[in-house]
Amino acid sequence: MNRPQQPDESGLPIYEPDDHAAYSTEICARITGVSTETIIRYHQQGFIRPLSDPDSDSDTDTDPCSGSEPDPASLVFDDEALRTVRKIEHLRNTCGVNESGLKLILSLIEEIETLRDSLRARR
Amino acid sequence: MPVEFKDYYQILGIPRDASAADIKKAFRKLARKYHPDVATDKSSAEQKFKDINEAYEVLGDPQKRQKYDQFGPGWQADAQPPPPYGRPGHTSREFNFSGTGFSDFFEQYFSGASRYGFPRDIPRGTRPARGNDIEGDILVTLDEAMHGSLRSISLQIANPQTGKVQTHEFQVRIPPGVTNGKRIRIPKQGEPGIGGADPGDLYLRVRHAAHPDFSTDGHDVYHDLDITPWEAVLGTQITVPTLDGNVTLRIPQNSENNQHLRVRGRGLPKAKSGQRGDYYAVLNIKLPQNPPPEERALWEKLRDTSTFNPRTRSSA
Repeated sequence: MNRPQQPDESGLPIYEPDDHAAYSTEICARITGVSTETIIRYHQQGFIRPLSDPDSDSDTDTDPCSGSEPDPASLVFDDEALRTVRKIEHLRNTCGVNESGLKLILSLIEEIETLRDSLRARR
Repeated sequence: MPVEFKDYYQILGIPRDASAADIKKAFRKLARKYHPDVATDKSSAEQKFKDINEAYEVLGDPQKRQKYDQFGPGWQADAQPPPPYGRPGHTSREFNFSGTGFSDFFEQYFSGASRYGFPRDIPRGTRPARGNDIEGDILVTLDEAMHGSLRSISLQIANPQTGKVQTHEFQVRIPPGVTNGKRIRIPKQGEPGIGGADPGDLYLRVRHAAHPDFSTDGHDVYHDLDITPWEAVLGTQITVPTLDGNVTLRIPQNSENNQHLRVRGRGLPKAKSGQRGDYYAVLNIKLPQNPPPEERALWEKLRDTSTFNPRTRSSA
């Protein structure tokens, strides 16, 4: 988890990002201020992707052939998932967007960001 | 809180009607001169380099340039002051960064900074609500992306309940290998919560500073390498710069324009894995402009001798 470290001589706290930060469904819910059921629903709808299980040989989260889905409560998420949940809640609460609209808006936002980055890289 | 106008055209030393190519050329020339890695006076060069980057960030982007140009020469006289901080319910930005590598002027008008969170139209004080998340950009040089750094950030932010401006000061470690577009989450440094609820988070989106020699894509580093037509045809060896020293590159015979020559493991570091991205030299075959008579004679001889015809279609 990204936590402030002890201040240095400047007296200011130091935040160190952790690329391997992982949050359980419950912690993810607590940080974003929604219920665990909401986190699980967003996962099932494909809005957020859990980190792959480090103990699993597979890169995917579920194997459709095996018929055994992981326990939703055991899923872990990263910082980007937290941000996405907050963004979804914002769109739902302030703009009244339904879930079909959310899918469209989130994919458009992602596409615009990718295109802008690509344009910027070409300059 | 008025912001100081930045004359980006003056910073790049170009006229207001400069073409996109002129802007790029001016940026590269100045960025090479003031790049902290090569400048002799590093402290003054660093600020100059940031100014040049910021100017290019705006003028190099047609949309941002158009917006900037709308300010006009009389901007300072006509400008409306930025929205004041601390007006509850105000829909404009109610925060301001410093230490991100961008000026207040840029932050005010051109930054991608935004905030989002839960609605603020609920009656205040009726129930606790977590503060909004805030997003902003942080300019990171490729040297910082290579080696990491520690940056001091100051965030002025209005309390949505009281309207009082608070200043959050903290440091953020930029990890080696940080990629362009990567967001760094700083927990609880966003907008203050209401009714004792937690503050929101702050997300800093990394923007790699434009570099005169290199660009990046993920952990890979790209370098445009200008070569002559005969170097492309005959092959050669060229010493090229990388982010950590020079390497000698073998240009193979019959190289083509835009061909990518890879040097494994000379890109940005990949987190804690110890691995690195790759380095690509992108060949750019340059043609001589107005060659002197003796060279022109050689080109004419080549024309008369060569059987090469790029417009011949294969019948296969």
